[in-house]
Amino acid sequence: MSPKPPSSATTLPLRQMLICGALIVTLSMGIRHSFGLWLQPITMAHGWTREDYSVAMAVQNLVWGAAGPFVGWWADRSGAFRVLWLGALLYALGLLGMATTDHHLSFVLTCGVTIGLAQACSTYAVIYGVVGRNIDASQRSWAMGITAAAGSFGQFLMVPLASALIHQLDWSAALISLALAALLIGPLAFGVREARRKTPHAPSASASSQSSGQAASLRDGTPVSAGAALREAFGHRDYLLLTAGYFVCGFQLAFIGVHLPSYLRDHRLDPQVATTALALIGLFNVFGTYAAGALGQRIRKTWILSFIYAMRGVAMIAFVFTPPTPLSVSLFAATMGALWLSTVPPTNAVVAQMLGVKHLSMLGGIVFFSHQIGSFMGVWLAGRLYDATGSYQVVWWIAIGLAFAASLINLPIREQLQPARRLVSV
Amino acid sequence: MSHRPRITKMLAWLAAGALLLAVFLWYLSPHLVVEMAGRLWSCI
Repeated sequence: MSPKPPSSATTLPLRQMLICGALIVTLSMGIRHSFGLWLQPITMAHGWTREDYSVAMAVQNLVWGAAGPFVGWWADRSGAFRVLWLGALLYALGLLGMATTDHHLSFVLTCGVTIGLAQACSTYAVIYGVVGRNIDASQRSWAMGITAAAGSFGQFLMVPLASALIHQLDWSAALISLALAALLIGPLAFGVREARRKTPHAPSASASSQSSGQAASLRDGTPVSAGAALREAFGHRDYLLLTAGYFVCGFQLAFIGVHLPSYLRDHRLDPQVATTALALIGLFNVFGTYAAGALGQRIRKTWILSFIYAMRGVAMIAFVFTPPTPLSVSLFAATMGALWLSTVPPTNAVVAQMLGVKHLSMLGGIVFFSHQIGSFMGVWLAGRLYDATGSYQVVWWIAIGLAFAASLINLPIREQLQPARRLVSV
Repeated sequence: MSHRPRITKMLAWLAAGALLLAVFLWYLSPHLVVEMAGRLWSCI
């Protein structure tokens, strides 16, 4: 899939919006992904336990998810520009707090609450609202793939970069340098600044008909309140199925991301195998995310989601049923990497197609909240079941079962509403 | 004229590929592998 020239309906220049949006997500997702590297220096410096640090990270993930719908509502209402500036300032403030505080409660407030809010203000849901409103349906999935791949690249890049910063400077100076980097989100927000409109943007007729698969409803273009959009979304079986599927995505990624090194250690593999696995997940994540977005322009996005979840299940079965070796770990990491954030573009593109783009950040934020609850459950339940049973076997089976369940529930999802039910403009 | 966008696109893909390869090789540099493995293991 290759980029096409911007359509006449585009209100922001395509390249400017994609480059700035991609850089914003690269920074926000990348910085966030490196936080595990600070566990050791921060806990050692303050004499805290790992649980102390983990509580702040758990709070951060939940705040990120819970704040998403509210921040999304604000971004849909006032535009992403102010939201992104707030995100940049909160991110910098939170990182400075992480670097300077030595009280656990203030650490939870800075690293947990402040950075969680910052992430809600500066990641996918907010940027996807801009992308959705400014790119017609014929390019939307591809554009979302570009943006999500940038976030994947940020994760891939920032881990070794943060490690080098901690090594070269010290842990607190490294955090301060990341705080300065986070401030760049503010200037970059100028590239995604939307002009205020009184009526919602409606893409070209051809795009609209491609989006809905039929003539647009009579009510398309009619301003609809956030409350009405919420009522429509929660009364829509397919939106709820999509949200349930995203819960599974969060569960699996958090479980594997956090507990895979421990699983490998239990099987007496060399610590360097985990590092290589991390690198492979990061590398293939970039390809997989872009490919899922680009394919979403050609294939039904719900089929792509169904395929991704099914393949995760197959990969986990193959991994768990064979004794882990460096080769099998690398193959598993590459496969899971290709399937890692590849759910992000199709999921958000389906929300846009199903319920329109006027409230996309808010509705995408709700779906993402489900993802974050899944993440929390994946980390917490895996730890609890490991303590109870002495192995990860039960959790692997739960993750495998959830993969096939998510694959099945994505199949019947219709990507567009019947015109008579369509309240929210495309 | 029509070849120019294609060449630009190819160069962009090559640059992206080179960047990804460079980051991947960074992960595999011995010093970083040892340091990150230590940090990853300490996170358990």
